[in-house]
Amino acid sequence: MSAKQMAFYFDQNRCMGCHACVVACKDWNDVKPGQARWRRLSDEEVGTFPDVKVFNLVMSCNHCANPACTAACPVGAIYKREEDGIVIVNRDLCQDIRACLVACPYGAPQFGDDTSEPVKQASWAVKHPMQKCTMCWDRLAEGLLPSCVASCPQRALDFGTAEAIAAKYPTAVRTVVGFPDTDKDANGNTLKSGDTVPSIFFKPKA
Amino acid sequence: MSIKEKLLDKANVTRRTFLKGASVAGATAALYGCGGGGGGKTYMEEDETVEVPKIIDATIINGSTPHNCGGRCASKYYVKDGVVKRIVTDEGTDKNALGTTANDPQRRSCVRCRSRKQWFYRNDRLLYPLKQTGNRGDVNGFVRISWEQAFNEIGTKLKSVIDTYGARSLHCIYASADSTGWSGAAVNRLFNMLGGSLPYRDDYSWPALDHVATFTEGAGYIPEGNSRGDVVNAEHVFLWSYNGLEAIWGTQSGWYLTQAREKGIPMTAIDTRVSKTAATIADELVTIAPTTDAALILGMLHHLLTTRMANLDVSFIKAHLHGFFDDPAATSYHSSVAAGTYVVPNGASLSAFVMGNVAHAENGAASIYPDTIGYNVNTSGTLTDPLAGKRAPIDGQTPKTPEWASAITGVPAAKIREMANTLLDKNCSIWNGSGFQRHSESEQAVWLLRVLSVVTKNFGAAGCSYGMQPWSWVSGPANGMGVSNPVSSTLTSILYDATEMTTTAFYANDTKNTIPVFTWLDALENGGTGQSRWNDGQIKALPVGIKCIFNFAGNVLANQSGDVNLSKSVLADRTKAELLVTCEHFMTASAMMCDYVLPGTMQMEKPGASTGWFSEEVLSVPGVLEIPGEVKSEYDICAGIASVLGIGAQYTDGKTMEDRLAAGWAAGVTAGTYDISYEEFKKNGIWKPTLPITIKYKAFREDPANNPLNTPSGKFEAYAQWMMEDYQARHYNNLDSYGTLENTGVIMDAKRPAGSTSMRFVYPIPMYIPAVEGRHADGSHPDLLGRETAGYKYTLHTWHMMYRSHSTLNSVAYLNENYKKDVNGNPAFLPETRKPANGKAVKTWEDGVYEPVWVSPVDAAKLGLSSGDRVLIENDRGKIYASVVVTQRVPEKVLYIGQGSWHSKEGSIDVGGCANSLTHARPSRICQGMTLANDCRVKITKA
Repeated sequence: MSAKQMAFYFDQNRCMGCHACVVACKDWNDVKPGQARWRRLSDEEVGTFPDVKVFNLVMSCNHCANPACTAACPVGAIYKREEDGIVIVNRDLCQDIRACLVACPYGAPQFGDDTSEPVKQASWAVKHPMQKCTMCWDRLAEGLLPSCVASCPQRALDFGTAEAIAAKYPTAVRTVVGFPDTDKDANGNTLKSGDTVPSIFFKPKA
Repeated sequence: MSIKEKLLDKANVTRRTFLKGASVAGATAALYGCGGGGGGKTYMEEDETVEVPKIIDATIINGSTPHNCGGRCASKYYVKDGVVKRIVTDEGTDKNALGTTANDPQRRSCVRCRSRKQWFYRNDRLLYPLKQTGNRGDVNGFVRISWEQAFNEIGTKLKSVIDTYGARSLHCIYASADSTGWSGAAVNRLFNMLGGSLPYRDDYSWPALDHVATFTEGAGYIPEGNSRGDVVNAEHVFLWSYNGLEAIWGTQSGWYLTQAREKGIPMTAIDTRVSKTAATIADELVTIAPTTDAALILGMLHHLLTTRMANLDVSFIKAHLHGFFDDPAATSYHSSVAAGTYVVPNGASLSAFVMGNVAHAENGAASIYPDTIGYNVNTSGTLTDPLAGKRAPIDGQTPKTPEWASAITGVPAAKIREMANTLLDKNCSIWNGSGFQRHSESEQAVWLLRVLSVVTKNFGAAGCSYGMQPWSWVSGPANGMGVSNPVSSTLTSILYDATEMTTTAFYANDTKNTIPVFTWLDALENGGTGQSRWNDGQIKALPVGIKCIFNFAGNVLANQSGDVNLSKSVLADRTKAELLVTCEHFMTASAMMCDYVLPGTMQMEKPGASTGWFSEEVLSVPGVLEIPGEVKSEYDICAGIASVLGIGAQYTDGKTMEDRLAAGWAAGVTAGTYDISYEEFKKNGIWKPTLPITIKYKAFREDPANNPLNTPSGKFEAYAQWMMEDYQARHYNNLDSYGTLENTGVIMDAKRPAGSTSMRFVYPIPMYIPAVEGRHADGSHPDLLGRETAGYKYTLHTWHMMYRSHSTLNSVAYLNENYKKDVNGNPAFLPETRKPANGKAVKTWEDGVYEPVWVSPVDAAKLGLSSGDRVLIENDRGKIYASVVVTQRVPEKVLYIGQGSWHSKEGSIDVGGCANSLTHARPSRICQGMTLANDCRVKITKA
């Protein structure tokens, strides 16, 4: 375990599914339009018209306490920071094996393509090494909130240490409609590395 | 800056961290040999962690990039060497104290403003002046010319048009994309210095809201309600046709409603589908057949007038609402209105109409209104209207019971009663949108909502409100560009017969010397011939048609108005318009139809200021970005044309745009409006005064006689004789020779003080009139144009989607990929570099990235459609391709497509998916406003 674990909070009642956080993330991190998206929005319709409820969910990397990606990466390109629990990929090390993509329950590992990432950097071993959310660690270093959290017009997102989030939102829960099983990989198989313990808290839609 | 550069920013090491765990793969990595960071090192040899990148060294500019959504939110720009590196929003204190004057939230922007980087630097941006050398609309006919040539040729042609046809043949067409206001100000200043131009009234968005509020509550622009913050005082909130969260109706409005809801205030949405707003904050959704809102309100009024009559405060209603009950001896609160000239004959009141053939105790007679209404359209000649001789049911003699309303609207009668009860028994706020007024009978429901708010006493008190927050509490700095339009005063005698009016004393009557904004195409096609496609009295009266259009920062010509294919055919005719000039950022469908296309500056490439809807702040839009190519500001462009015509110095008055804004701000400081200097304003990027929590119409509610409204009666008007008279003054023959009123009833007006028994095309009360291409829940719609028989069994409904602002931002990939999908179902966008396929014409949509159309699962099953299928949507006006999204958020028989996509025709099909390739150009009955959102029947097939 890290000394400290930063975490997201998501109020599913407030989210209207506008993608402001998705684009705020891409803009800040200079992720070009294309298939790589560090933060993603999904929605689930329950019921039939007109009695239908829409469950939005926005999610990036959940910077798990027990990340499946780091365990799965055969080259050790992904690591978890001791001081704040943020999971970081060293793109120079990535070999595009994509074991992380299979292991991650949340679809967090992202891969660019030739349109969005036309120039291969000299230090990269592969054309499109894995990329993902850093919790905007550059912004955190300057005392700013992650770009997504600061962007939300509906104030559906919050951020802080897991302890602080749990204290601020005592009724918060650890899963919500649309959220994957935390101990299953992308193919639905139980993770050998154990439950990921994602660093995200929820207020479920009433 | 690439991810790589940021992650490995060696020059700016702020922290180094070491891998403590997750090293189990070490040996494996060694097997891969070549792996590793720069220089081929592996983590076995070195620390493999990366440093926290340092935020780029850029200048942070506080400003905004307003669009014509409703937002005008704050943006902070990271600018380096004149280039935008990053865009964030307001990061100041987020002080939320809704309902108090301490409320000062961050003005957070939505996804539109966040995507702007992609808009600035697309490589298909227009960079040079272009001239059409072929036929209008031929993309291959455009050649690059110099600014000198552009100014000379446009100036010369402009002068020739003025010399030949007069300045009244010029038109600065409605355009809303430049929310700093320079585009319209620049063109109007040029035109007015050259003698003026043909002016329009109202706007594309809210013609009925504007027109009806003017006449029935004496408001300057729109139905006015309490401050947005007062919503916390309501006991129940109705969101009527309101999708403000998605459309962004005023910055933070969605956040305000969210906070109100979290305080436990129940919210009911009335809409045709599950909008983002309804899905997010409505406790209940009451779904209604498109265009039938007026019937729903009439059903509620019937319930109130019968079952709940004992609870109605009749004396209050009579004191505040003119003509809800019969009032043959009505007197005005205004002494200037002579007794007996503004009365409500027996059986002519709104409640009489609601009750139909059943007499009501408060009225002198049962309804005088007939069961049908006709259309005031061309009945002969080449422009004969297909509605000629047709009649629609208005059920004048039928009681408008909740059951009657239920059949039309699809809303259960019990729910209609329940909503009426809630409105009567609780302090309610009604927040309205505007989709419900975008059809051929747009005026009725807008008007009835105001009536409902007065009858249930939901106005003028805390938590009791209908309408929008007063428009302009604060205003931006004057730019000093105004020059009066010399043409306006010459038009009054031509366009208006004031003898039809009992009084014109109560508003600045802008119907008298303008044309309805939506009828520009008619003025272009038929002006000066004595004819009008829509039998519009004012278009027929025009001595000359439009001969020259300047379209700066707009896309109305061939995208955002009804029936694009009709527009294009008229625009293509050089005997009609002799000069068409567009100033744009991209080659839009409207630009394509013009003779000259001039590259204009975007926001932040010129200095500006902006205020949003329900203005609570002024935002700076500083000119800090490098201007690409030969792009010029609208101001400099018009000054260039002015120079050719010898009035360049007069035009600029030696001032730059910045000079003008600084002077305007300084004047505001002197006048006590602003309390900071222009420099501080620019540095802060925003100016926010402390605003009151206004309760609109409070004084009128408490003491109406001494605080009369700006209407002839001095009250809200359920019976607006002067609105009907205004229609007649606009050279419409309103007497319908088809028949006479029922029960020997009469309607009076200035020219018929004793009353006339004739039926009319426009009555002094609001009704439910079926939209021309509408539909009733029970299938009883009259379908006067035979759309069902023609196979057009679906209604096309458009909305203001999250991912553009009207047609602005349509091509931004950061937005497109959030709502468009490719043939494989993956998020997709159109690449900027559009390559011709097989050496043929440009196939912009060859990747299968079409506008999505929402289809109900029931219809999808019937039609054999699945999400991702390409469909052809068509009617006799046009054809578009779209990509199916099957969703439970929409009802059967209605298809939903976002408005504003760029018309882009390949062969006979608009592959761009512009909804207006299918909508009609018919203006609405009374105000001749736009009718584009939900009055359109289509056929849909898999393609």
